[in-house]
Amino acid sequence: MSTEKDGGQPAREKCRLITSLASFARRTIKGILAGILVTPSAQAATLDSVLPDDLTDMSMEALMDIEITSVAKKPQKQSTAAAAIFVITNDDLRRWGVTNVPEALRRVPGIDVARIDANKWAITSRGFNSRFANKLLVLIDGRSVYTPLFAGVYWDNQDVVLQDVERIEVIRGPGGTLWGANAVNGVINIITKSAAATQGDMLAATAGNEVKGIGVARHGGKLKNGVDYRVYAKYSDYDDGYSSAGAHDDWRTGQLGFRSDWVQTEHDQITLQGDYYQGKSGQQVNIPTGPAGLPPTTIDQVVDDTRSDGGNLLFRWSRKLDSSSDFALQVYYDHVGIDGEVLYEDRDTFDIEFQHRFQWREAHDVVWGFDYRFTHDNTDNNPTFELAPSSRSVNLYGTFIQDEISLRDNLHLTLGTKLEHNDFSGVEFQPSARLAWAMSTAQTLWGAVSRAVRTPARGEDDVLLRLVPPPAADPGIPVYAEGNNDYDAENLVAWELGYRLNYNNAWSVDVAAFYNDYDNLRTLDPAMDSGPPPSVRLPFDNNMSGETYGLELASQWQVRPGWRLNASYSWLEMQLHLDSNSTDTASRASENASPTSKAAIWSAVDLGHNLQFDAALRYTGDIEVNGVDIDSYVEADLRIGWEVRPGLELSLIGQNLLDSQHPEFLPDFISTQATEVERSIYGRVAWSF
Amino acid sequence: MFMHRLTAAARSMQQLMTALLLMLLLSAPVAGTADDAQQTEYRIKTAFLYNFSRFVSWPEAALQNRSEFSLCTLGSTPFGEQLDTLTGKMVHGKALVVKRFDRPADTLDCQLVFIGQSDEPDEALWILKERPVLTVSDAAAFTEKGGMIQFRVIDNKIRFRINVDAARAAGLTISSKLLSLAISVTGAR
Repeated sequence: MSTEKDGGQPAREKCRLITSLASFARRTIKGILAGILVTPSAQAATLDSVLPDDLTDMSMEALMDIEITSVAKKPQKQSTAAAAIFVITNDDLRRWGVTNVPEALRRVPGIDVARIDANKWAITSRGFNSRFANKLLVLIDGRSVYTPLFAGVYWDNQDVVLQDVERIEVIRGPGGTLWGANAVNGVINIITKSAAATQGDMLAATAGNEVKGIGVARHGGKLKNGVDYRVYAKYSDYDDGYSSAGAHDDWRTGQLGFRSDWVQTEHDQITLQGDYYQGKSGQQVNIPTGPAGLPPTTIDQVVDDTRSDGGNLLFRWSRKLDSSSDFALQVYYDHVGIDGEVLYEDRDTFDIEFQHRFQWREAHDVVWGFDYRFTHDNTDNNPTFELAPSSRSVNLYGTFIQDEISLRDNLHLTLGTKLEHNDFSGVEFQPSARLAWAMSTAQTLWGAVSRAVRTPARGEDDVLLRLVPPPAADPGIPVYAEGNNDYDAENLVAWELGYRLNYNNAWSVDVAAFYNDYDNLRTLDPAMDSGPPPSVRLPFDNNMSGETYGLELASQWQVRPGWRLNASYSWLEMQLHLDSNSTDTASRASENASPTSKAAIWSAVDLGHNLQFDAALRYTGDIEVNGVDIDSYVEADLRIGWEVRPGLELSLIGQNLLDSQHPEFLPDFISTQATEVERSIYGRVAWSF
Repeated sequence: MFMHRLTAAARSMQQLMTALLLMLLLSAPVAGTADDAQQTEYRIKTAFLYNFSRFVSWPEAALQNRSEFSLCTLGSTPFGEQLDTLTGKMVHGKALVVKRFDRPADTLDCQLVFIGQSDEPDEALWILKERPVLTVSDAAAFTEKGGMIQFRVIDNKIRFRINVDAARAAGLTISSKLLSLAISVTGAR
């Protein structure tokens, strides 16, 4: 593993951290105490109760997008969902003042967001964090953005117009039964608004010290034949992070896209949407070099701009057959192009999914479907990164069925399984059983047992990746992570228990506890290769098991009309065990790469005179990545918003205000320079007309 | 040393959180009502009525010498107490008040009237015709009969139709934003 030494923080810096941590803990606890003891009132972060108390704060476009009942026939279905769900609404995105999806995920319980440099993030659910965190599935409008090359998500390429996002649903825990492989520890669904809800024009501009500039222009209209559409363009320019040695991780990305929705009758809905982007993400990467034809002799720190370009086109047709049945057909094409000093990937993906839902004998709500995905890549070999073969096509096909059985009016049992075939590990099955008991209209207790798998990535099968240490730590002999054709899927059996209370829509709490039992986790067992030249090989293998357990809490309290308080808290313990035959020295370190505890508390106040004031405090516990300690931190975010007149809003936002800079994470596998997150202040103008 | 203190602080925080959680679970109140679908529908419609007030302009004569902006209902409506959440909000520089009437003649002083579905809207529309009162209803064919804005539920979401001629005849100006969001606009823009 690459280890980048980070100069230890001076002691007084740590003292200050401790003081601020302690005072933060006191304040958080006071806030939560207030939430619990003073007035029992708040609403759970469930799909059904995402409606803020005061809907007059919402734009008409947002109001037009609210479903009166959930799409499924049973109106209570989502509030009584037997899963740990947190929903970020469009209004949250605006009031939290965030500029991209990773920033939006920071307050979500159970989700660990850590920035490696200005354009790279390590984001995971329920542990195992890394730049290539591979147990969290991310979808944008039903399109998977999980890369099959290395597993994980290139977050710098997943740009969306936040003003046009309807909601971000975060489901912690296994989702394999519905979503298939790699939805092991969670699923994030980014859902954009329908074109009918984004009619009219919108211009938005953001600028500040770290966010150098973000510009968005969107036009929504209606064609004569009744098709709603929108087209947009977005450009973002971010400054680099902080490093005492100088940082080179500034980045820019530009994106164009459209979405059209055609509601032909009240039964059919057809959506066609697409995006195209180009980006340039800076980094400093350690590259071994030497005379031509000979083994590399030195390690150079190369400043590089990784260029990316990609696009997608998605078609979805859904039809309501009758009041209790519907089907949906979705087809998409996706292109990803990454061209960096180490990583080169040129990938085309074609995906087709069909699902059908129907009611059977009153008590059964059945949904079943099938899907097929074809993905083809071209890669470019270099001395650090090599894939054999350099170009490969991979197929994935599967089917699933799930039955929600109403045992009694208030007791629902959901049984289902996914059966899926992939080219690396063959057939995988991912069953689950979930039970939800609506104890009263305000309370739900749920439990679930499920199995999920993380299937091998193309890299784990085919890669030869030189793990390059920084020059000072170079052992002289090359070390390679090596693909293994026998590498198998990682698997999980998860036990979950949750409770949700919504007291008079004024106070709510959502608690989820889990116990995860993993097997076949990835290891890298070192072996000498005598060469020539001699090298250390670390073939991927499945020689680790482990248990993780934890607790997540989300609470909301409507203190009075116009003032809302929220809190989230996560606690996570991980225990990983190497098999007795394993000589791995690095993989167990993921135990410490996610914080044991993480908390956030935030307040949203309407001050009157069309002024809004938002404040948040976030705490993230200390971690250790590849043997390097990273201190816990507390950060504050503030926003003041002024609606000058309907449709015109000015806001001033501060992020990470408590420190001039703080480190959050270190890179993995590809040895790039980590940079620290700096205090960020920016203004935003948004004008809808 | 410092790391230990940090860890200790984090642990005591965890313990407190756990204790709080237990307290919470043991003392959880059982009462409470969840939104049913109709309540949700009328909460959304309440917000729409507020937005209609903001995105429609009244002739100056209709608002001057008035201290309040009257949002009225006629007949029985499913809004319940929802509408009262709008009381006190500022609309066109006036504080919004909610009034409920049963006789169409009483609504002449209102700025916006929601006409209940159970009532025959024809009489009210006849009385309010060409007066600066924004008429809104759920009633079928409301805009065809001369009403100004009609709610419709399509695909489980709230939509609305606008009769721009009726509004214009009453001296009201409907903003282009509102018009662009309507599923249909009757009359010349």
